[in-house]
Amino acid sequence: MTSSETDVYNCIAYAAGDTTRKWWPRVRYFWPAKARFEESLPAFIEAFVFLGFEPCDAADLETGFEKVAIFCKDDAPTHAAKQLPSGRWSSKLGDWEDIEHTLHAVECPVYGEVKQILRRLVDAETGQGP
Amino acid sequence: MVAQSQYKLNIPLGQRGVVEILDREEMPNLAHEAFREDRVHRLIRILRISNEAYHPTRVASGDELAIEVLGLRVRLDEMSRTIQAIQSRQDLIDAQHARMLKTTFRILADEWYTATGMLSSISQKVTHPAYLRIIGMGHAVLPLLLEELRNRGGDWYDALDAITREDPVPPDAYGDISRMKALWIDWGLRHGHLS
Repeated sequence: MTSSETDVYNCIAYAAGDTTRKWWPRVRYFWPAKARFEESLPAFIEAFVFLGFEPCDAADLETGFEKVAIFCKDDAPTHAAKQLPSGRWSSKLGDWEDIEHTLHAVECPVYGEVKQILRRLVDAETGQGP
Repeated sequence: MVAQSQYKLNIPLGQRGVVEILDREEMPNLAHEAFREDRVHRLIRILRISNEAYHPTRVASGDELAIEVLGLRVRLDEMSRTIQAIQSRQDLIDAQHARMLKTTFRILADEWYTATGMLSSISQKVTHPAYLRIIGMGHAVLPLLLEELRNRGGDWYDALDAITREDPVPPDAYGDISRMKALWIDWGLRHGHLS
């Protein structure tokens, strides 16, 4: 566990680097204006693309890149995780705590499985994205 | 005057019946005298005494009077006591109902938190059966819901909107949970649903 439970942000926001609000394509919640306003994998991919991410195939740690993973159950996005500099992954479990884990450790009947990995370049000095 | 507490009549308004006189000395004039049944005075007309024509001087202890109830009169203080008794009973019923409401809400809310706490999908959270049942409880659950939001948090915004048909959250606050919560708490205070 890497932080206490809070309902201020959810897993999508956390993976996007935003711990100030909840992200979800639904009225009363934040969703990037340029991304499709629907609960679909393409819409979620778009949300991260507009943050500078691009789809990729490998979940391995790559120097100079940070990665996120989108999970789906029955083709509906359910969860997102972000990769740590160590290569392990971190997830915000709904309103519960943030935890550190291996990528597939949070695959389950609730979250489904990893469906898409995305990556974006990070600043060489800060190790962070734009 | 009639010894009111001695006589028990169960004759409805407009009907006739028989009452036995217990003590003649206490009944100088029975015409339009009122017999008390519980807290209601019945205005009566005496028709006959033991099957003979009525005359005040003819009434004797042990006689049976055939009477007709002409009207009902309830003394104001007795009516007030009756109303208070009814109100007390209603208060009791209301208190029991409030307890049931609170217990039911508590069970459903706890069930919802447990089942959906790890979900990020807002859609999944607000369509959980326990959540929908809370919405179904309607306006009565509003104070409990707002108190829950204030003390424990949670994505209760869809429920609040569904119940109140209002939404104090402007679009620029969407997703800003701290702000959304504050706006709804303020709404609850202004509308008297929160203390």
